[in-house]
Amino acid sequence: MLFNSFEFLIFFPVVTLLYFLLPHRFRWALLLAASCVFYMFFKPVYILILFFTIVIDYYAGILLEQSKTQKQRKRYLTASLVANIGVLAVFKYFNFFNDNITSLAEVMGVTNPIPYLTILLPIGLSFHTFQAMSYTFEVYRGNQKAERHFGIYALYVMFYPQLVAGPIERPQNVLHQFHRKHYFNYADAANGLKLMTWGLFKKVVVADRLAVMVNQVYNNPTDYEGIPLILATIFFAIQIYCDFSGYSDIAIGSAQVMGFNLMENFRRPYFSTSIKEFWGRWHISLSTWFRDYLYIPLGGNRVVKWRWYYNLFIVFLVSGLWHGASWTFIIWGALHGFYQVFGTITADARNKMADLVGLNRFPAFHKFLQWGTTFVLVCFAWIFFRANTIHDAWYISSHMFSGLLEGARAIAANPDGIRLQLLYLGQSKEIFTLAIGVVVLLILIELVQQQGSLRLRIASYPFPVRVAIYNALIVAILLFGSFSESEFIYFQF
Amino acid sequence: MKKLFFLRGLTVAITTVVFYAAFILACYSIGPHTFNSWIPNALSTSGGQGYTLLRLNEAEKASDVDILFVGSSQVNRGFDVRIFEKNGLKAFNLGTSAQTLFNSYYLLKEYLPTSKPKHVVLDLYWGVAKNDGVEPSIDILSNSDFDESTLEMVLDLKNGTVFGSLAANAILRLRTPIYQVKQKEFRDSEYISGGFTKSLATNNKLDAEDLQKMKPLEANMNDFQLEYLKKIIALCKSSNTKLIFVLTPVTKEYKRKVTNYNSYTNKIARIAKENKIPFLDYNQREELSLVSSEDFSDRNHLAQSGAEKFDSLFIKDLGKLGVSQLSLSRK
Repeated sequence: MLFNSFEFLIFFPVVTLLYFLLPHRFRWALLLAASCVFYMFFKPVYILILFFTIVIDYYAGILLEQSKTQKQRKRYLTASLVANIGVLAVFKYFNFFNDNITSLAEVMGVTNPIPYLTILLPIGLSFHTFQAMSYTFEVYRGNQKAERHFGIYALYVMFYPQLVAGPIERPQNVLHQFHRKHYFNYADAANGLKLMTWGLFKKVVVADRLAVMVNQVYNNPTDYEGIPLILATIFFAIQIYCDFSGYSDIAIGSAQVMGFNLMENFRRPYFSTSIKEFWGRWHISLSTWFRDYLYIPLGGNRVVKWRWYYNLFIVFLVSGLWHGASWTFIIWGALHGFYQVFGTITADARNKMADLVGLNRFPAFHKFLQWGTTFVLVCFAWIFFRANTIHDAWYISSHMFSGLLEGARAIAANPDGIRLQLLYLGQSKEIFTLAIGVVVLLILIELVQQQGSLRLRIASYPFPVRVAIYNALIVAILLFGSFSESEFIYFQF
Repeated sequence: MKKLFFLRGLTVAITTVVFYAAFILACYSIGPHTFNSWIPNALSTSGGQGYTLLRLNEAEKASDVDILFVGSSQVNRGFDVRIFEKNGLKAFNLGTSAQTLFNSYYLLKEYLPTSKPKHVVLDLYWGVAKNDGVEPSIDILSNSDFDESTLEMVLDLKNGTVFGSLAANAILRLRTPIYQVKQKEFRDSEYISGGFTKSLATNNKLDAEDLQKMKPLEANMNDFQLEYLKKIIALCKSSNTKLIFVLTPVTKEYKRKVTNYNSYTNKIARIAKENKIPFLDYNQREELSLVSSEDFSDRNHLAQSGAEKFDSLFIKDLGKLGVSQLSLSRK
């Protein structure tokens, strides 16, 4: 079920209402049933995959806790990881690797006998698999007691707000909340609804409006060069942020209405002044997952330098592969790995250079330069993330700055057709202006948020004014939102 | 605590009512200009391109017709009701801009009982077969009374843009009732009583370069539209109306762009065969010698000369199906 669908408009209030009406001992069952319904809206039969990993991990957790020896503990952890990664390997990566084997075999003049699997990728597979794995890791490390209540454990994996696109939670944060009795709290409900509304605004008014223009260019890249390629890439950067952070806001908000606290997933990432900072603000639940369960076990930065750089690079390469079984995602991950390594190696040199040219005497300008560079690097990497093929990504990155003058002249010459295609990316002037308008509004709101919570600021206004502000937000969604019920980008991962 | 909660709820309710009342009043005061191209979810095509206003207004009065045509603009520009009249067949053209099968179903639901056609000719043009039905639904609700079937159509589509446009049109109707809305005039076409849009273009606006630029496309019917095709078949069966499937002609150059033409038409042929419905494909007819530069106003719309050639052949085909005899016996 999509958060931006009419079904959810009915589902959410009904489930929430029932949740508070039911006695505490039945609530887990209600949430689990609701989560099953929510998931089965996509492809019902795939609930069996979830059930399979839930059963494996549930018993793995208990057996881990009961194990007397380290050897036994490792065996159960391995069994759990093999089950989870095995599911990922079959459903997400099998055909990708098989295709590459086929290509390699063709080069060598042989035929690949392994058949192609005609299976759909289960929705949100990477998310709930990683959440399940974090449970067995934490039990293995002794940071989390094994959950004995099967229903509660299943709910930990399947809790509908974050089932298909995160935040990827940790058992220490969520499991105990399912045991605790929640009472209806006006502040929680109001704040949750506000966050959901803001998330919906970001999704349907900003992301989906920009998506039309981004798709126009990225699905036909060779029709363009210069200005439209640059515009579409910047628009995609904003689209994916609003799409994914919008989803996270709705997830966190809908859980908050029922009294659950989920972790923050985005913290205004495009205000970052370095790639390292960007990853501390973007998809926080995933970057901390990789930090805790891959980067640190690899040795983190407590190793010799070359090994540290290797660890950094590997983590981002795997992160790319986590996003999708395609070379475009792998290159996107590799690019971010390279940024990290290069940024780490050159940190001292860059500081000395800034001192030498006197940049440090103008901290605001220096910061602006850092911000600009970070944004450009992130946008460049997004090209590979969004492009349909490596060939398209190569074309876009190599044609972004060609024909800029001719394009500008053509636009200035003012034939409407040219302007429509080059500047407005196939949309009417009004819709394009509207898209720019909502982006500007978003940036202004994010700037205000950077200074402190906008919600708290609005809370200081008289009550009727507050109600009017939130109604205005709803009206804005109704008037300017895109209601094509488009899926969230991160559902594919 | 309860008292505070009640007071808060009351304040929210009152403020919300006042807010929306003020908003609607503002929209009403500003008038039709409120719902222009700046607001994507408050659209109105009242009296606009496509002559849906005149067509639906006339459709209400149409009764006892031999043939009712439904489909997209290719239908309203392709089937000249005057030619059918000359051949003793009373026809009404209910084709509207970008009309999908979803819309055809609701139009048939509304107009079958009043027009009582013997035959319904349904165009299955691939260009609208995978659409979501939003655009044509807005066109229909902008140009008709908010009757039961229109509201049913809106509710069935469950689309925010359509809901918003319904609200916008409702506010517009407060200022200008539907019967006072004026149909705009267009230089390239003329409305002919009976639902036909006569093209005034004398040559195809699409030059070779445009067609060369056009990417190959795949013809598909999505599940949503397929579901409504089945509903149309059931509706016609239940009202004892004979259904005929057609594919109106497009330029040869455009047809060549369709990579899976045969598999698309085979799918339709299979459905037609299963339900014993005649299926006439006018893109596969040698004897229909249409010239792209003269008989079409663009790649997929017939010009008047093309409509005349096409209709002549279609009427001959109807004769083979026994439709003309039906009409003669009625006389």
